[in-house]
Parts: sequence; C-alpha cells; structure tokens
Amino acid sequence: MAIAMKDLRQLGRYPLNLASLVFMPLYQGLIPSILFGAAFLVGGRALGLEAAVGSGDLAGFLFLGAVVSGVTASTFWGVAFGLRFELDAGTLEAVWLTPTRRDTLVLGRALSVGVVFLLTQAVLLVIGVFVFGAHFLPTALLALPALGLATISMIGVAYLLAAAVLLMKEANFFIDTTNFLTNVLSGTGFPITVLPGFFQALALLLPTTYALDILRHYAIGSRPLLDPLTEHAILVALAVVSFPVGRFVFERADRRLRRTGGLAQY
Amino acid sequence: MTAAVEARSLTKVFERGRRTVWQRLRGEPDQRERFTAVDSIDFTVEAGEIFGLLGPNGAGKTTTMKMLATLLEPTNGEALVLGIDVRSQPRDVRARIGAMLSGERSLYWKLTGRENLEYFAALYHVPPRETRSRIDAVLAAVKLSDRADDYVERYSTGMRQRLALGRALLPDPPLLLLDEPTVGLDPQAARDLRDRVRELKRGGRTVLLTTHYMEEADQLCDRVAIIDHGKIVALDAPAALKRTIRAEEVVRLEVGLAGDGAVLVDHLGRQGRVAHHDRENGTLNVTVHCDSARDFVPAAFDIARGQGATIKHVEVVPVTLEDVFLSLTGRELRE
Repeated sequence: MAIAMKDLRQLGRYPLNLASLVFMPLYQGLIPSILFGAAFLVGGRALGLEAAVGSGDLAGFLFLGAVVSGVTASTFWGVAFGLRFELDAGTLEAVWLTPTRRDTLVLGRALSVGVVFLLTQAVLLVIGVFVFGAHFLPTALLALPALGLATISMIGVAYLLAAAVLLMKEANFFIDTTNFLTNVLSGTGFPITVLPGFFQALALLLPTTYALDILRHYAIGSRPLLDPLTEHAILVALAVVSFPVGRFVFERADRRLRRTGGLAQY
Repeated sequence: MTAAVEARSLTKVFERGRRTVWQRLRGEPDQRERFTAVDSIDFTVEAGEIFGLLGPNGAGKTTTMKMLATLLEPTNGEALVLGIDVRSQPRDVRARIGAMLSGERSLYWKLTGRENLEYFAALYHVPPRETRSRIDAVLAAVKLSDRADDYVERYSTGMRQRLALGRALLPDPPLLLLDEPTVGLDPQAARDLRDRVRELKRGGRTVLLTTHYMEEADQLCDRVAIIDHGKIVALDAPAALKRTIRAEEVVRLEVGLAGDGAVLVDHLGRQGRVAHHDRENGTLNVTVHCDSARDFVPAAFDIARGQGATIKHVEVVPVTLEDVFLSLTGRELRE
C-alpha cells in the first residue's frame, strides 16, 4: 500500500502525465484505427469485422482492445520499467536497503499501476461510449474473472520483465519491442485470425489473448476463439505457471545483482 | 558485548567484461578479467564507537559498506553485523541497521521530506501508530522539522543529505552505515552533518562511515582503518596512527631548479625523512617529516642554495592522517 501511495503521490505531482495516460491511447491508436476502419464501412456496418469475429461494433472492438493494451502497457512500462527508472534515478538502492521483500516491491508497483489503469480505462470507455458510439452489453461484467486471472499472469510477466530490465543495460528498446509484440499478438487492434499461422500459435500462449477474447465475447457479443470455459481454464493454467516462474526468475536476478553489483550501475 | 561489525577475510571480486550466452552454451572457459575490490580484510567495530574507513576513491570502501549492508554478496570471507551473518540472513541485517549509501540521489524529489519518510517508514516496517512520532523525532534530529512539508527538490544538497541520514534513523538502528556522508557538501553543511553524527554517538549508536577526507576521519572517528587497493594498511585511533610517522612536523617545500633534483632530495633526506617528491612544471615538490621545522627549514635553504635552486614556498603543518597514508602507500589520498 505504501508503495502504491508513493507512486500515486508522485503521479499526482505531474497532472499532465496523468492526462496523457488517457489521451495518448486515443490519439496514438484508437482514433486513427477507428477513422481508418470507418473508410471501409458498408452502410455503416463493419461487414468484414462482423464476418471475422461475429460482431460489427468497430468502436467497441477497438476500445476493448485498448483496455488490454492498457494492461500490457501498465505491466511493461509501469511495473517492470518503473523499477528500472528507480534504478537509474538512484532511489532503488535505498529501497533495496530496507527489510521489505524485493518481490513485494514489484507487487506494490503493480497495485499503484492497477489503480491508475482502472481510472484511466474508465475514462477511456466513457469516451468510447459517448463520443465514438461503442455499445457494451451488461454481460461485460462476466469477463471480470478472466481479467483478474490475466492480471495474475501479467504480474508473473512483470516479474520476468523486471528481472530482465534490472540486468540489461538498454532496457528501453527491450520493453518497447516486447510491449508492441504482445499488443499485436493479443489482437488489440484486429482479430488474431488475420495473423500468419506461426504468430497465431504464439498468440495462443499469451494470457492477454484469452482475456481480450472473453471480454469482447461478453461485452460486444463477438465469437470467441475457443469455448469460454476452455479459455478460462487456460487462463488459470497460465496464472498458476507464470506467477511462480516470474517470482523465481526475479529472485535469481536479484541474487545476480548482489553478486555483480549491478544495482549501482546507473 | 557483541561487536557491532566483524569482518573476517572479507573479499569481493568483480568480473570485468561480459560472457555472452553463446560462450556459455559452447562451454567456453570464462576468460573475464577479475578485479579484487576488497582483498581479505579483517576489522571489528565495537559497539558505541565511530569507526572510519579512510582511503582514496576506488580503495574498496564503498564495496565494503555494500557488503555489510547486504547490497553485495561477498565473494569470500565472513561478515557479522550486530551478530547476524550478512550472507545467510540479509533481511535480518537490513531490519537492524540504518544505512545512507548514496545520499541525495536516493530520495524522491517530487515528494516532501515528510512523505519520503512516511514511505520509508512503511518499508522499514515501523508500526503505523508509531510512524508519525518516529518521523517527527527523526526530522528534529536532523534539524529539518521546519522544512518537512517542502518538496525535496527545493532542499539544498546539505538538507537532502540530512534527510537521507534521517531516513537511515527511521528503524531506530543501533548501527549506522554512512558512505561518504559529507561528500559534495559545503564546509558549513559538512560541519553540521558531522555534528549530527557526533550526536548519534552520544545517543549510544555505533557509526561506521567511509570518507576520503582525512580531517573528517581525524575529527570524527574513534578509530580509523586506512584502506588502499582493497586492503587495510593500518588500523588504530587517529592519534596513534599519526604517532607512527615518528615526526613532530611536516614541511612541504616548493623548489625551483633546473635539474631533476635528485641530489637535492638526497641532501634533504639527511636532515629529515623525505616522504614524497615530484616535479611539476619546473617545480620540485618535496614533503619531509622532521622533528623540528625550526631546525630543518634553515638547513633546507642552505641545501637549495648549494644546489643553485630557489625555495619558492615553505609550509609547515602538523602531522595528519594524510601523512600517514602517504608514508604507508607512497601516494597522496587525493591522487
């Protein structure tokens, strides 16, 4: 809680940054995609999308993609790169000197990032509904368990990424690239059925693919990739594997830093 | 009584360069260069004393501190902090000590002083009902009560250093590790921080600090370990270390002369002990340890005149830890 409070206090000192968390996904991804898609509407209907996923709600499809894109950005930049930022700023060493477990520090960041994520996504979805005409069904709430499971998996991924960025000299490029690939493979901007076969197989390894698929199924009535029950089971399996594996790798990275002295190499 | 810190054959070796994944997969021998930053050092810090590690930059002081603070794992040897093994119980060690290793950079500049302390109080597991009073006490101890609610970015460097010291006091530790606590501070701020450190000792705490300022070690520390190239070359009270010089005074001469000055140095060496000499832009700088400058200086003028040289500047100073370091290593602390 203290970590989250500290992060939120700091974020509050930069109100424009907070606003950019809402508006950046809009002007960088959503608006261009919606306008581009609008050019292909036939009689106001996204016929191709409807054929591919069973729902022609282009705005809803893309705004829900932005939600999961927000999950990955929060994980990759907020949690993992956040630790790297503290390392570069020189504050991580002081934090590492306290008796608080180091993996708890990752969880603390995940909590603060989660709070910011919920706030910004709520604003984004309101904009989607009232400005871009997205329609979401009340059954969208049924996707919450899937999103919760995906969050657990993504915290596992955050541990893995945090381990990587603490050990790497050039973490920025690594995070940027993996964040981009995760978004592409999860189908945040298009159905994953349009991806080449090999990439589809990779997409099916990601928790975000299933969480987004379930979310779209319940919120805009799209056709799921697999039976929702199966998708939930896969999400449980991914969460059970990725969380402990992530923690283990993070602890190994911490041990390596203690051996090599990398913590002070900012 | 348990010693506050015990280091036995404590060693840290770093590898330079990188061993690629490809080299690992192929099972190629590890050919990285090894660098011994701390070389099998032994020392004990007694409870209640201020103990200093004095040495030039790169001597191994900070590496030693980081091993004691559990940020670095020793390569070899053993270190007990308050009787706890740093290798096997690092979290227990961190729970008992206060450490200030990287000064002002280790603070959150966009938070106030109080907010910084609130955050770290939680990380140090200070009970929530005690947090407020503990923070107020710490702020008073480091003389920052009146600026507690200002953003740290508005603090001076000295105030940030004091806040970092305050943070180290949050767990109410019996032992404090301070790495170069006054580096970068103006003389007044440095003096102020040293006063705070003396107060900590009066309050019954043990302080282990590193410094490359000999005056600081001399004025502040009960005992000093002089460290160079990762080894402790001397360890004693400052006064005892200075007595090892076997001289009452130190004379520093700047001599203008045309030749290399070897004969002149040889002659000066018959009047006192030449601790150091070097040539810089046509000037020969000589440091001589002697019993009486009153006797040595006139003799030095005579020697210089005899060699066709001119003494341009004479400085007579009492023996300092700088001279001890010079006599032990042949180098100056600032080199």
